[in-house]
Amino acid sequence: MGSKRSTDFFCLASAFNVVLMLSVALVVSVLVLRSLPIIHRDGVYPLVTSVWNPTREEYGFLFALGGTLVTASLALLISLALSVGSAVAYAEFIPQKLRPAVKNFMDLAASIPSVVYGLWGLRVLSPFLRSYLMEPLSALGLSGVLGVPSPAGTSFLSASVLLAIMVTPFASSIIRERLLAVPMHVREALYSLGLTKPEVILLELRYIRRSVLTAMAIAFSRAVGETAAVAMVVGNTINPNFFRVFSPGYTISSLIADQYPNAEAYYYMVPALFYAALAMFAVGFAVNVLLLRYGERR
Amino acid sequence: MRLVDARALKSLALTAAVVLAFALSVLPVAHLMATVVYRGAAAIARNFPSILFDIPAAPGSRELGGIGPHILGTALLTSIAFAVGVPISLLAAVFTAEAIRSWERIVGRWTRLLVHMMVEFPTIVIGIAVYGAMSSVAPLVRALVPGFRPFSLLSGVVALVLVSAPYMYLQVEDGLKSVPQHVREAIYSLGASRLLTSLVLLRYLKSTVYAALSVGLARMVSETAALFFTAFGSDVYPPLDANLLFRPIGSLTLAVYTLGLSGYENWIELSWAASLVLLLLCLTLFGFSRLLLRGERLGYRSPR
Amino acid sequence: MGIAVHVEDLWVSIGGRDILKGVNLKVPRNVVFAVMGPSGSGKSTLLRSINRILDLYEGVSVRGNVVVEGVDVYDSRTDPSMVRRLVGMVFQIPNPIPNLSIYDNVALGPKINKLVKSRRELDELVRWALEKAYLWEEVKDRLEQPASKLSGGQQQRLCIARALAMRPRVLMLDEPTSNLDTVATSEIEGLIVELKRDVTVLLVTHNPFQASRVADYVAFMYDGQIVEVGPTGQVFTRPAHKLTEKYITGRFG
Repeated sequence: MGSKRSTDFFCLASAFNVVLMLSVALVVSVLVLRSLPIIHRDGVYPLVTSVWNPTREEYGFLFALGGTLVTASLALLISLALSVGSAVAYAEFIPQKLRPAVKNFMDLAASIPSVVYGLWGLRVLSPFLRSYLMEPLSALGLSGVLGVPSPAGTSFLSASVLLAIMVTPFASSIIRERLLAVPMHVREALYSLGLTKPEVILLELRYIRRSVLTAMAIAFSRAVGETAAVAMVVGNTINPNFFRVFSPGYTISSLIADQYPNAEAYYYMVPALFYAALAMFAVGFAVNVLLLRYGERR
Repeated sequence: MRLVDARALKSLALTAAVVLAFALSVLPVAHLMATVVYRGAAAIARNFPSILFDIPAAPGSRELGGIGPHILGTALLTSIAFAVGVPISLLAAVFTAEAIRSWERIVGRWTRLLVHMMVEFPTIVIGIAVYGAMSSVAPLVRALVPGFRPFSLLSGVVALVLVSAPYMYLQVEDGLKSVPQHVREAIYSLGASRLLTSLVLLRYLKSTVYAALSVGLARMVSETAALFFTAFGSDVYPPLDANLLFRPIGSLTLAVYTLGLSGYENWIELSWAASLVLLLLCLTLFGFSRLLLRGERLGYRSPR
Repeated sequence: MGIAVHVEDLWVSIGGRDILKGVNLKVPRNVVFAVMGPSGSGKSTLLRSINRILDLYEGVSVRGNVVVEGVDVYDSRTDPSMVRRLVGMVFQIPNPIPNLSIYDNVALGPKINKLVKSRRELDELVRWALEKAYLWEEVKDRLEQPASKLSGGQQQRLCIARALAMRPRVLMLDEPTSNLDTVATSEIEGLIVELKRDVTVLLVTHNPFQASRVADYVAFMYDGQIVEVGPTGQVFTRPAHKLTEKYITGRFG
């Protein structure tokens, strides 16, 4: 289609494609190159130990890796219930007239800066969860298993709940659209068999389960990478017992965010933080690859 | 009849569970917005209008001070990053969508694939990668600019471009792809070059493009994690001289983060104020993109 | 010979537009009863109002009475699910549940409505339904395959089996062959004639020749009203109404 004359100018635009491609390559290669010193020195040791002692140049960040996986998984579970539930509510119970308002509100929720969620999580959500969830459960004797809440309520659990609140609008919107897109003839077939509404809804969810899975996988990888909000509510304490979700701890992203001001004061801390970022990146990347293989095609 | 009763019960339980889930996913966000508006407005009202220009008062003092440097920082970071990021994403999108020859198509396909990956990169990763690159080249740059450090406005701009350009690129490219072939052919048939055709198509997609840009801008304004290792943050005004680009700079998001975590009541108040400013900016950009897209949909319908 | 379906002065409007304008109909038990008419005459709406599938759509209002096997369909105490179990339905587009297997498509209704007590009973019921739908021989070795793998005609017979497995008293078919080729169409038509031994068949079709081939009684519907009803032979040889005559001789629209 393009005439010969014009091609020369048009092709200049490819330079900008190269800029974009190079920046992706740059991000990945910097991550790898800058973590090489500590990989060379310690191998996988930082991934499997929890000793973080910069003055002795020891950087085991298993506590943060575990914290990331625990908070993201817990957030995923909460968000699964919330997003499926609210998507069903939207498709089945919200009157047509109210839908645009609800939809706009959910989309708006997804566009609020995460650091604002973080401030609210720190000042409102964490104390609330401490008084109404963690303290009562601790009083019942669960603190031996789930850990002792901190005075401010900052904890793995607070981070998980906050993450769930943050990713739900997005996850719910995917499920909602797919639920509304279930073909009418499928719904008619189900209702014509005398199925009741709950039964039809469960079957519809089964019908779109790949989309639900996809939404949840994206939500998980976002929860893994989310930084500002998590760093504000997770407590930023070295805590190898990351299954004690009432207690404060670190995730990888919050470790990086919290340590950056003094990283350059040590020899290996900057490489260690890059290594941690690489590990987190690998987790998110693995989820995305699985998604490409098993998720629905977008 | 018992069967029907059990079913009715199940139906009721499901309705209750679903309504509860809906409430739990909407109410926290509503509470958040109300809190930000209430606390933020209170803080701003207490020291208006100097809160918009002052630097933060000493931590723990009775004074409030302001978030002037952070507003300036966000304005500088986003306006420069926007000016750099928009041409890159628009032209790359045009090239990808209008690629015809095989090498062009290959370039387009790889760009798309890589950018798709990059959109899902955690922004903290982008931030420290930019820091890593900047600190690697710092010795070289110091030969030209003696005071250069990786923590700078320049690094912050690069990070914001990398965070935001992939979004704008994908949105615009999707828009260009959705242009009906007959429209494209009509423009070509007038003898327009490919470059000119692309520009006409971008005008045809005006509202999609503007909506994409406003979403991209909103991402820049609301970004925090990518700025930790790059812009670094600062609570004072930078000297406005030739080295402005090479010094650390604050931003509203970094202000919310550091002031909010500080534990001093007056700084936390400032943090709420900065949150409100951010919320208003995002609301405006969100509303703007919604308005544009509504117009777009009507525009598509009207010819039929 | 009792009455299976009794429709009395039924008015239906969708989005403020009247679709059915006072329909009256009596369908005797164990016959094939065809409702024919041009598209847009309200045939599908009539079927959908009998089993209250119409409830799924927005802006629908219904006036009048429908009684199916003694059940007052629009009584406020009537559970629509119960009505739908009494009345099986087959749709214009073959609509097996795409992600379920052949077996599960048929077993779904009986399982959820607890019609069977054991897996063996369920297996037997599924086999019975598939045999009734003349599908058993073709699928007995691949019951676990997804239903979407079947051909169009097979899918439609699967939908008939799915409806039959509910042991309904009435089977409604909404233009069941309009998306099928001629071979599949004649298979389904043969099947319809057989089915009347077990259920009352209510067939909607826009094709008068199909009605004449399979039905014992026909009703001609036009613009939301029943124009003429009677035994098939009588309506097709001595139509009482000019419109009917035009329609059955194919000189319509």
